[in-house]
Amino acid sequence: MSLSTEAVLALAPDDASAKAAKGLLAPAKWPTLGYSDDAVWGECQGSGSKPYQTQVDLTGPVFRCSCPSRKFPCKHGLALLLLRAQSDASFTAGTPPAWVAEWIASRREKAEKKEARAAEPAAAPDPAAAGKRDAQRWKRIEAGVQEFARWLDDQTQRGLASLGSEQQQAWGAMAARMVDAQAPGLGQRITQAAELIGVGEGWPARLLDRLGRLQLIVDAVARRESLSPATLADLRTALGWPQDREALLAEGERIGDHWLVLGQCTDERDAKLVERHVWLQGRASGRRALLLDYSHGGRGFETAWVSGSERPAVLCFYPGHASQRALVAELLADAPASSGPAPDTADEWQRMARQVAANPWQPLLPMVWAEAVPARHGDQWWLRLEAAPQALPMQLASQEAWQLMAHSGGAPLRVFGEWDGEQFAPLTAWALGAAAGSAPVWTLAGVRT
Amino acid sequence: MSHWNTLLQTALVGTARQPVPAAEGMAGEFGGLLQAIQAGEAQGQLLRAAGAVAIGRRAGFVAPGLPPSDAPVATADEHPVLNDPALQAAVADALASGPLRLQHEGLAAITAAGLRLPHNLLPTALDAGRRAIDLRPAVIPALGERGLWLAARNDDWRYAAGASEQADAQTRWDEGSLEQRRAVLAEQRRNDPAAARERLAAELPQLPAKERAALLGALAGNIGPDDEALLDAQLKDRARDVRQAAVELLQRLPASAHVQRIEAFLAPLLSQEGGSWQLKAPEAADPRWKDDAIDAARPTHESLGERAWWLYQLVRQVPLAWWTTHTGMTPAALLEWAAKSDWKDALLRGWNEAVLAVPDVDWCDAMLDRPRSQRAWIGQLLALLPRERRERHWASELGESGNGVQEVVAYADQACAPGETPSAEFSLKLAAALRLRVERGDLVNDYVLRQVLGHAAALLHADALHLLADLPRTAEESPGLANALSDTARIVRARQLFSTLLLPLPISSSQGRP
Repeated sequence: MSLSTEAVLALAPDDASAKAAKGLLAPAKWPTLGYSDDAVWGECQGSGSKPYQTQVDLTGPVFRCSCPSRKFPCKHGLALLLLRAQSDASFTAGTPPAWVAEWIASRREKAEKKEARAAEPAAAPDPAAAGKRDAQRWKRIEAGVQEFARWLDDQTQRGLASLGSEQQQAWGAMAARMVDAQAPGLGQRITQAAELIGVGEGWPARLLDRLGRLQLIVDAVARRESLSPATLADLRTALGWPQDREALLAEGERIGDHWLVLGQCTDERDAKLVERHVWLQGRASGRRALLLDYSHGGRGFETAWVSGSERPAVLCFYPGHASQRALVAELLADAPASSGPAPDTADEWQRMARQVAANPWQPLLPMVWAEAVPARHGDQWWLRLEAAPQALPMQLASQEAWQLMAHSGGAPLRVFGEWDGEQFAPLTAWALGAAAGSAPVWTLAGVRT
Repeated sequence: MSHWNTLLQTALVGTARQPVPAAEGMAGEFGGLLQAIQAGEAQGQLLRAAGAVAIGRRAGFVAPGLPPSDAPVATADEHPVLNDPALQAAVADALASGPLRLQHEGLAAITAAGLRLPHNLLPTALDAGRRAIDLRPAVIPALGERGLWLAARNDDWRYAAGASEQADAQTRWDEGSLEQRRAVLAEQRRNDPAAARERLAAELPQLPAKERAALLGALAGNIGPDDEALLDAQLKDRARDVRQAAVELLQRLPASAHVQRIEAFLAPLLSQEGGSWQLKAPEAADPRWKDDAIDAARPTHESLGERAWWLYQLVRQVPLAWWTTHTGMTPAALLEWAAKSDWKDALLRGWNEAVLAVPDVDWCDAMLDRPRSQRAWIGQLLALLPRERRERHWASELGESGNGVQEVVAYADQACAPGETPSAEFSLKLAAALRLRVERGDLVNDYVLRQVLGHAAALLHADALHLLADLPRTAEESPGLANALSDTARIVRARQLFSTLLLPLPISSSQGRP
């Protein structure tokens, strides 16, 4: 695997790391630079007498460095891959030295152990105790939701027109009350709804849309005994009920496939919490999946995904209807490539409607537009769809939008992005007719705030 | 009205004042659902109906239609894109973090190699050009058709959004940006000065003042007596900038009626008494002055007195050669004489402006040999000299031991336009002097030297770069020092990369090379 400069920079945990890495690109700073099929390594002369030993396991890519930095990946790791992208000739092919070989071997060993562990039957949890815990949680949620239902009805009795910025505090308190009631998903939705009050033209319609969908969650909680297991799972997700990882890996729906990385983005949630979305599409199954990860304090993410690349893996999907969210159960080192890429869906609108019908609470839907032209119209960015006069309002920072425009030149691109029901946020763009697995011309860069 | 809108209306007013509206005209399964909601529990009824409709609206979303695009698709470009990843990264880095000289060099190298910027760098390059006017002549030719297309979509980049660079001169003149029109004029001026003058004369009456002044400046190339009539007419222009541009151009024509008139005003004021020259200032304003763009009224905040103000305006409009021929004195002798004159301030200021308007190398030399005045002014004078004559002054400032290296780098930085460098030989001297200071450890306490080092890395001739590469590093560097050293290394490395673009050509196209 060989990464482009942009793809490497996209792995940087923050701008400072990217900048520092660019300062380390003189080959003179690297007394040794080597590579093998599955690893790249180098020694970087830092300020101390002993050089730092930097290595990258390309099956990830996963980084390791002997420097004391808490950033992940650190500037040395990034610089190593940048050098690999920019000056191939500086690297010597060879067998990895001991410090690289040992690490790679230990990583493979760990992976095998993990597999072996997974193969063992998990210690059966005490079903009675689990059932009691669940019942307690439902009791708390139900009490909280009843209070919330009365509060919602109160708001509609008084009318949305009476709302203003002075209500923010009361809404914030209700959101906090839902977190206390162990329904953080509701809390988050209330906070997001409160942010709409008084913002922009037509805010009451947007608010009514959110509140209406919240009411459906409220109603579903009351009717939970009559719901199918899949709908119940969707409801639990909407409430923010955490999924037990081990149980999911043991019981969840598994799909092995070559997964094309459609795109990814990172959003700053709180001051130090960063949320990452990685969207995948199975080549054979056509299934789309969302890997959702969190990182604290600018440490970055352990496994990096390269937009536009393909990787064989087994994914384990969360329960529910038309579930998108998944965990990586197993990264396959190498699997025979299946024939032909999954074609773009004929009709993204149909796909979208089916997704909404299956689970009305999914906040984001992935969409691939085979021929779309980014455009500026009025004071808003748009994505013109195929030959139709239709266009999606596009949410994109202007710097990024101009980059996308530069790549398009007024001609169509293949564009992937997230649809939230109102705005389309592009994440990746390919040249028209680019082969599956080929590098995109544009990817969304940086952390959105 | 759609059901959603009736629901919204009720939601705005509040269900306390307006009942939840019935779903009228809704048939089928969905209509049944809404009716069931209507008949069900009262609490939350409005939101329950709104939720159902909201989900339906979401699933059946129809994207709004836009009027068809009136923007053309970008034209294909025959120039290949800069493809080398290391060079791409170096150009991206230069555009993102400068300095301007490095940006200029990278862009000029791309153009000289017959390449164009990759698409992802176009917005950054256009932004860099928006911030720095000096960079624009380097940005525009590196944009390619795609970049010109992009610039036309954004008002901030209008400076570059002229006609296509591949278009013929007439199209660029008719549709181009101010920069492009000026370039068309300057180009035509070289081959056919009369045609260029007629082109401008036909256009002048329709132009705003700023463009009149800028385009008039293009007549400086190949100026001749035939241009006099057009320039003379501009002396009566409404805008001071245009009059000033015309005056400066006419000074290049010593035989012109305007220069003759100014000389006739000045000559009676200069007389020989007892073997030495005496200068007087005008006693009163002359009504004929206004035809020659001389203001009788002294500006409110002018430091010169009224008579000195008049004298100064006459002095700055007379070609410097008039003084040497008229008095038989050398520039050095005249400067010495002026220093003792009562009208010293008016004379020196007039001469300074005259030398900037029409560079005269002998006068520059003489001015630079005077005891040093303001640093900024010295830099301006040095910029007027051809390189060999500049470097004589720099060498004396630098000194045998290289003590003046900081000042000389600053002067050279000011004197060399982006794309120009000091000679290879002199650059080697400066780089050696700098390296000596770095190796001596001066960087630890000398904050100015840190800046100078970065400037030198971007400025000096490529042949001297190796002396600034691999500067010694230590483990105890402060963050500021480490930054200065890594910035220098970054610039040196980028320039060495840029020079590889020009390798196949025997003579580089950048002006500063010998």
